[in-house]
Amino acid sequence: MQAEHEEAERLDPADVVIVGLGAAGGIAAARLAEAGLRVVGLEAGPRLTSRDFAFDELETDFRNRLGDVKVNDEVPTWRPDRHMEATTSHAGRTVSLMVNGLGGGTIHYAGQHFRLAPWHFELRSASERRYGAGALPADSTASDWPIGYEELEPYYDAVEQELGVCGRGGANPFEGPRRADYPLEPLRRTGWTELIAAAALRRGLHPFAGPAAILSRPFRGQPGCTYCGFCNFNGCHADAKASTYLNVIPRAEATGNLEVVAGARVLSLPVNRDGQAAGALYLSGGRTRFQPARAVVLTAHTFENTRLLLLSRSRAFPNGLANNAGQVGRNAMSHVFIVLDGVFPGRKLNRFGGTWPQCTSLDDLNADNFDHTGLGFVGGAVISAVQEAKPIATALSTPASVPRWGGAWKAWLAAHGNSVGRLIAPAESLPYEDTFLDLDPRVVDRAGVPVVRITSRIHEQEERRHDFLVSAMSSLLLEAGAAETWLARPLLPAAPFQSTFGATRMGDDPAASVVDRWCVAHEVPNLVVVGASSFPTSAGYPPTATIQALAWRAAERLAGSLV
Amino acid sequence: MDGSASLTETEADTLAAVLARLIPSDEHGPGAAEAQVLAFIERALASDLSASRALYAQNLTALATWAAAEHGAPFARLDAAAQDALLARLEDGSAPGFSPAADVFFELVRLHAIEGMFADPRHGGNRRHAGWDLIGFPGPKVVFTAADQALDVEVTAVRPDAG
Repeated sequence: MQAEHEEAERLDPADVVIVGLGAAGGIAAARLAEAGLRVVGLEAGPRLTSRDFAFDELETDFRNRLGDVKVNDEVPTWRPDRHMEATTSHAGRTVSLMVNGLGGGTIHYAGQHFRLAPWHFELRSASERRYGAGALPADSTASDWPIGYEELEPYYDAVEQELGVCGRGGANPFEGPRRADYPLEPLRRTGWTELIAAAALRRGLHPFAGPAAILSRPFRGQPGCTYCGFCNFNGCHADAKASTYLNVIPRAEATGNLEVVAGARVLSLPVNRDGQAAGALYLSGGRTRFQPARAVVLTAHTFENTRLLLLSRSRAFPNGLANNAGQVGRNAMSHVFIVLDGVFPGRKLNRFGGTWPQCTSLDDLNADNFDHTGLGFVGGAVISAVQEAKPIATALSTPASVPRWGGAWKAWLAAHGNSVGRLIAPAESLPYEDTFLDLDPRVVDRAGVPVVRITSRIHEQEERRHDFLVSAMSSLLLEAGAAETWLARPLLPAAPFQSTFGATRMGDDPAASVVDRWCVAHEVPNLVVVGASSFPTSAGYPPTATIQALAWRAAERLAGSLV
Repeated sequence: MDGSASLTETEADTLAAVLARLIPSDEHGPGAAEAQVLAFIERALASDLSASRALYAQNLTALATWAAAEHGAPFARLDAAAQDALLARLEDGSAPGFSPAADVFFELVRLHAIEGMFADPRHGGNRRHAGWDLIGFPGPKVVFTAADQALDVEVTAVRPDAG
């Protein structure tokens, strides 16, 4: 890699080169550019606009068209344990629907924008305090975060105010303390979300309007949501999502200090003779270029953060950049994502249209908000009742009591197609000794670069947590009037790795983590790695709010050290 | 766009017969035949799903061979009950001669059939919005109002290209 980068076209040095302009990279770019630093942002995907986002479920949810640029070609392989050969089949399921483009995952994400609970930052110590030394399995590598909720709270608030996150402070009684309310009121309620809210109240639960990075009304030049129904897995036709290409990235460009290079595929992160990060080597338009910088900020998805570090081998780092302690790829986790449906015969639920985060959510079964004594697991998930049913997905989810094809199946859809309600829950999972990411020794992408290999299986705590949540969610649907409930997708031996965490985790101990409490690599003082890959635990929430708060905090610190 | 070159005539006949049993035409409305799900799949096999083209050819031939062995006639000529019985054995994986397995092929065809029945008509299936009408999907609308999201109301359907 050293020789390769010396042959590449050498560009003018920047203060900071950012690899990946998505949720984290966009935030970091704005903070660094506004601090007066010269920033180059490298993004593998193109600059997209609202015209690129058709209302077309097949193209978005099933063909993942926005991932054709890169990620569709580098889907990780999977194996349940280290003695087996990894395959690309994943029991027929796509591992992940990531996309490439300015804005990254914030282009097509659902936009649910939850802070973690204070408990999530001290999962191990709090669990052992309350439930004893055996609260976590012996082979779990879960650790407390090196920072607490209170250290991240100012940055959660800053992100909410910057992006125009909507919600109502205090509506969720389990939320940690907050210095300010959300800048925008919650998205509109619907018949379905209110039906679930009423049922939850009857059960003594605490429903609230889920916070969202979707504008409930115009904000800083962006319009409000039109509730179209093609939001999740798609970019916004109206520019009403708080995607970073619509807010922080243009604000950073407006300073004159951010140069965005779209279509830049980063190949490796070379080091100097003294072992410091030298910049980024990338391919663009068939040419290899080297962007030198005083500091490197790696803000791709968990898979690519891991892959790039492992690919960046040098004399100083023979096993990959920042990996002399062998920690890169370890402590990986995925949500065990639960989708539970229920049929309400005779009702028109009208869940077509709208957007997921119009949801009614409840945190009663998340974190340590309930007594886990005797349950055999810790943590849980936020549960949300969601809008935005789409037609192919609707036809694919029918109860086990109904044939899966033929006249009886069709008759059931004719009677109940608009009578199905859906609850979702991103169930937490713990990190384990035998769950990790590395480079696949056989499978490469079309550029000849090894793809990530996932070694992961569902452990007992994850199975118990899953079954407990499914039972509780089913009970809530029945309370609301469902006649029957079923899982829209079964629990598979491998978690789907749609939201992926860990692999470059934060910690104070360089022997058990990759980055420190500021997301600076222990072994490379001018390398920052931020993303869900920084998380020591996965938490039962969508990760983006926390990714962005961490990125803000890390960039602020980095700017302070460079200016 | 014509993707008809993606399957031979015999393969297409067999697939059409399979699709007509997966999503039959009946009192609940048009099925796969009227919705032109076959055309959707043929077009997809010539483009996005070209990687599955060989798998389709191989397994549709296997289905023809198996049907002939069981009933002495091509799958497409069997009566509905006989076709359903064979499909049930594909679904449970017990049918012989399929690759990599009968149930894997069945699930692939079922997924593509549902895609073809319920995807936007621009992809060649869901003709006259047969799939969307079946489940009450009001269509792609730029704006869903509060009234459109109320319980138990009839939402006006938008059918932009009802050709």
